[in-house]
Amino acid sequence: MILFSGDLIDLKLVHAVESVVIEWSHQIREVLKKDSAQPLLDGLDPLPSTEIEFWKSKRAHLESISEQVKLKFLHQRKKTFSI
Amino acid sequence: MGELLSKSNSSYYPSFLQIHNDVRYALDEAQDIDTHLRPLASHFESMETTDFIEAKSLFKPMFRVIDLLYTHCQHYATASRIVVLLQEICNLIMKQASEHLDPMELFKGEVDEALMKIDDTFESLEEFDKEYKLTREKMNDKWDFSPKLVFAKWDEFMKRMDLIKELFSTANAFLKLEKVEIGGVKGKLNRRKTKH
Repeated sequence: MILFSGDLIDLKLVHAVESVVIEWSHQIREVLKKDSAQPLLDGLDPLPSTEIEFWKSKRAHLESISEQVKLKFLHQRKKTFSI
Repeated sequence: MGELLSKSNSSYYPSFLQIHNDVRYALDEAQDIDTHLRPLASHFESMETTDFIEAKSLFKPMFRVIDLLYTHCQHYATASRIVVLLQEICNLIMKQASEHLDPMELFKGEVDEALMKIDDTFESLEEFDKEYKLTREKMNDKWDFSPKLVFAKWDEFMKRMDLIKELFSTANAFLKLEKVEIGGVKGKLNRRKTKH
């Protein structure tokens, strides 16, 4: 535990959080960089329904990521305070 | 979690903020696009289930919705996005046309019937091309991408369509010849020649 600008902070926790953030970043980047042109670039013959499905699923993934990120921050902070 | 990283002056804080912003931007984009693409789903479905000859009348309303999509969906109004959709629509049209011209059926049936079917298919394909060009004209400088980006495969497909048409027209012409009676002084001789 160290004192940082008036707050007690557990350095171990900070490290743990940092490694989680790195891991998440990689996972989230994977979702972000998905491109609907990929099947065309792969030389397949995708139909327009592919495009519609792509955005539907990308939207669902991002909504869930965004939801999880928000929730996890709250849970984590609750735990931090209760230690 | 953000607060913890910020308070401990973590070097990961900026990248944490960055990813947060990127997710928010990507989510906005996906929601915007998904919402605006949905009305097209029913157009594609009916195109898939309608006989290709009757699908002709579906092209105009479909392009109208694409026009609206391009005008109202901020995240979709780029060449790279619309080109993907247009390519996929061309794929759909080509698939429907090929299915309509089933080779087994074409070669087994009467030649003149096959020719009629080929002509009908051409009519639908030309209607699609016409509606595309009208939309493009309306978009004038907004759709300034090269048509090759959309129609590379289509052009090849049309070349094959021309070949098929030529093949059947030639066959038809020769079959007509079979029934021709050549008269005149040298009629008999010429008739024999055409048979060989």
